[in-house]
Amino acid sequence: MNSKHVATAQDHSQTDSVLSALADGELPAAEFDAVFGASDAPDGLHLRWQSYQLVGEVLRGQAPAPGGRPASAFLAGVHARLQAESGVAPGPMTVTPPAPVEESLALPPSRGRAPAANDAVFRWQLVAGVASLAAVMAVSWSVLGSGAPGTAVPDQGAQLALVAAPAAPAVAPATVVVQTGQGAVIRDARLQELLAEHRQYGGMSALQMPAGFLRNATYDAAPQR
Amino acid sequence: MNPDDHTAPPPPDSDAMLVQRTLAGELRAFDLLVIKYQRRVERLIGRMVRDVDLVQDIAQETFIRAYRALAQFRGDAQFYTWLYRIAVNTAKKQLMELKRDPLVFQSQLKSAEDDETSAPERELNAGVADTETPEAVLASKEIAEAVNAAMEALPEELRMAITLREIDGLSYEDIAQALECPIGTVRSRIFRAREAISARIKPMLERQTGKRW
Amino acid sequence: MGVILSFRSAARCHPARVSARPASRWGALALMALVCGLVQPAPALAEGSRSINEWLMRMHEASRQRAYMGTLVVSAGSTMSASRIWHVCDGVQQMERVETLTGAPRTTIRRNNEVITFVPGAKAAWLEKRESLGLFPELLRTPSNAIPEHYGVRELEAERVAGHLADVVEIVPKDEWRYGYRIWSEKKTGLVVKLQTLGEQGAVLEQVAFTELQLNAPVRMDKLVQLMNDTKGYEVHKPELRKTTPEAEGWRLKEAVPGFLPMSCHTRKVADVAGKVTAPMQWVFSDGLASVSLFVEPFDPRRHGGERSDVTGATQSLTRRIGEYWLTAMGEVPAPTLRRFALALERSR
Repeated sequence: MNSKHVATAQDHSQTDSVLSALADGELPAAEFDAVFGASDAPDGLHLRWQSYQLVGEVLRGQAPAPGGRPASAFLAGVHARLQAESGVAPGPMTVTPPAPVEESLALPPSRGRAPAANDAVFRWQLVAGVASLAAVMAVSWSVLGSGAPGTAVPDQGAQLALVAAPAAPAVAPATVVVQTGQGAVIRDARLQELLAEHRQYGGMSALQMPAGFLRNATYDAAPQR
Repeated sequence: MNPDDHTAPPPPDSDAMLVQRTLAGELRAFDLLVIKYQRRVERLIGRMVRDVDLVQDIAQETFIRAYRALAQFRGDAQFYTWLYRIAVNTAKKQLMELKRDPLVFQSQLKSAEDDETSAPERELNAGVADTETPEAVLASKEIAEAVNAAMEALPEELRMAITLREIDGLSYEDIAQALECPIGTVRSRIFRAREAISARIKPMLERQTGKRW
Repeated sequence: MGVILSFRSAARCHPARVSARPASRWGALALMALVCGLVQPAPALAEGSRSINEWLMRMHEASRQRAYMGTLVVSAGSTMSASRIWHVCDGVQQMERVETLTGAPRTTIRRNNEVITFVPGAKAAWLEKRESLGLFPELLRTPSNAIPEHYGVRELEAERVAGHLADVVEIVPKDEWRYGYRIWSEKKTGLVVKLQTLGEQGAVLEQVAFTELQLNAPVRMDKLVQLMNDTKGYEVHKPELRKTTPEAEGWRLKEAVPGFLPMSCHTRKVADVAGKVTAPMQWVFSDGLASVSLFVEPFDPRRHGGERSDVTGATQSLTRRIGEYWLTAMGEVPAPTLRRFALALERSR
C-alpha cells in the first residue's frame, strides 16, 4: 500500500531532504540543482552538512583525529591557501575553478604570487636542489652561512645566490630539539623559541597594533617552555 | 520522477556529482567534499606523521592538490580512493623532505613505507589512538553524548531508519524493503532523524567556530 | 588643568601604562589627549599633508575604536599562514581573538595587554602580560621626533584591499640600517588592512594582509571575555619575567646603533632538556618601527657552535659567541644592523 503523504507536504519534505539524501548517495540526478538552490543561506548549507556528517561518524564510533581543527577553520584554511596561490582578489569563494593539470598529483610549479612581483624568493631550505613543499610548512629558518667568527655575513642581495648552492654544512653540533607531547618535528628549536620570544616581548613598534600582534598570533610556534 | 519507481536507474554517486559541480564552477560543492572527508584524511595522515601540527598542514595541502587535479578525476573510480592516494603522496613527499633534513630528529617520524600497500578499504575505524589527547576526546565526547541523547529521544521509526542507514549501511531501497514502506518515506524519516539530532549538536558546532558558518 | 584632566582620562584608555612624566613630556600628554578624543584632530587633511607621526597615530587609533572580523594571511616568499580575526573595543577595553587556519591549531585571545594562547593539542594555555602591546604612547619615551628622524613618508595611489578602499602609504628609511614599509590604510577609519616589509630594492620580505574584512561586525565583547576565561580542561602556564637592567646583568652597548634605543630588559628562568636552569637575558631595542632583541645566555659547547646568520620572513638572526656567553640577535632589520649590535655588545664587568 502506497502510503503517500499529501502532495504538497511530500514535495516540501522532498526539497528539504535533498541534502540528507545527498549525504546518503541517494539523490536522483534531477534533484541535484536543489542542493545549491537559494532557499538555504549559504552558511546554513555548510553547517547542516557538517552536522549530518558528524552524526554518521559518531554513530559509527569514529573518533576525530587528535589536534584536528573545527571544520569551518579547516575549510577556511583551504580557501585561504587557494586564494593565496591563485592571486585572485579576495572574497569568499572567489577562487578560480580547477584547471586541467599536466601531471596528476604533481606539485604545481612555482605559483604566481599575488603581491609585488619582486617578492623575496624564500625557501624552506635544506639541501640544494630539493624543491620545498611550498605553502605547506609554516615559516621556518633558512641557513645562509656558517663559519668561524669574523666570517663576513652575506648581505641580503646575495641571499639567492647562496641559497642555490648549499653552504658547507658546518652546522652547530646537535641542535636541541624540543620534545613535545606529540613529538615535535622542529628544525631549529632554539631559534624558533627565541623568535617567539622576540615577537612576544620584543615587538616594540608603532606597527605592533594591530598588524604586528596579529602576524605573531597567526604563526608563532607554541610557547614550549 | 516518482521516488518509489524501482525501475529508475540508481542515484549517481554523490561524490562524483559534487566533483562535476565543482568543475562547473559551483565551489560550494568542493566545500561539501572537504567537510565530508576532512576527518578521515586527518586520521589517515595521522597514522603516517607524528607531528600533529604537520598533520594539519598536510591535510589541507591534500585538498588543495585534489582541487587542482580535479579535472583528472574520472567518475568511474571512488572519489575517496583517489583522495586517499593524494593524501598518501603528499604525506610521503613531506616526510622525504624531512628525512633529508640534517636537523630533524629522525626518530620522531613514523615510517611511511608501510602505507605503500595499504588501501583505503583496509582502513580501520579509528578507535582511540595512542596519541589521542584528552581535549579531543572531551570534545568528541560532548558531541557523542548529545547524539546519543538525541537518538534515544527519537520516535522509534525514525531511529530505526537512521540506524539502518548509518550503522548498517543499507541503501534506501533495502531499508524500504526491511521496513515495508516506500522509499520516499525512508528518505523522509532519515531526514527528520538527522534534523532532530542536528538541532542538539549545531549549537556546539557553532560555539567551536565562533559563528563562522 | 586641561592637561591634567586629559592625563587622567588617558589613564583610563590606556590601562596598561600610566606613569608620571616630567613637564618636558608635553608632547606625550598632548598625544594621549588626542588618543582619548578630548582634543579633536584636525579635520581631514589634504592629500599628502599628513606627517609620518600623524599617519602612524591614525593607524594605531583605528584599531582601537572599531569592531571588525576577517581573515588574515601572512606570507613570506613562498610560504603562507592564515588566521581568522575578531576584534572589538568599547573605548575602555580592547579585545581580539585570533584563530589559526593553517599550521598548528592555536587560539590567541587578547584583552588590552593580557594575552592567552590556547594550544588544544597539548591541552595547555599560556597566559602573559605583554608590555609591548600597550606601548604606543610609551614610544614617546624616545624624543618625540625619533621616527621622522629615520623614516620619511610618501603617499601612493589608493588601492582596494579585501573590498575596502585604502590609502597607500610608503615609509621610507633614511639609512641602510632599517627596512621600509608599505601600508594600506583603510580610507575612512585608517585601519591597517595590508602591510608589507620592504628590503633592498623594495623587495617584499613579508606581507600581512586581510583577504576578507567586515568592518563594524557584530563582535560581542562578553563572548570574547567568556572564551578568554574558559580554561577548563587546560593547564594554564604563566611565564615569569623578571625585569632587570643591562647594567645589573653586566652588559652594555659600547656604541649605539643609529636610531635604536633600549626599551626593556628582562630575564626568564628556563629549564633546558637536561633540567638545568638558566636565566637568559632579553634586551630589546627599537627605533619606533623596528625591534631588535639581544638574547644572551651562558655559552654551552654542546649546543653552541660558530657564528651563524639566518633569516625567516622579515626577521634576521645572528648568533655568535662573546667570551663565556652566547648571543642571539634577532630583529626585523638588515643583517648588517644585527652585526653592528653584536660588535657593540660587551661585558661591563
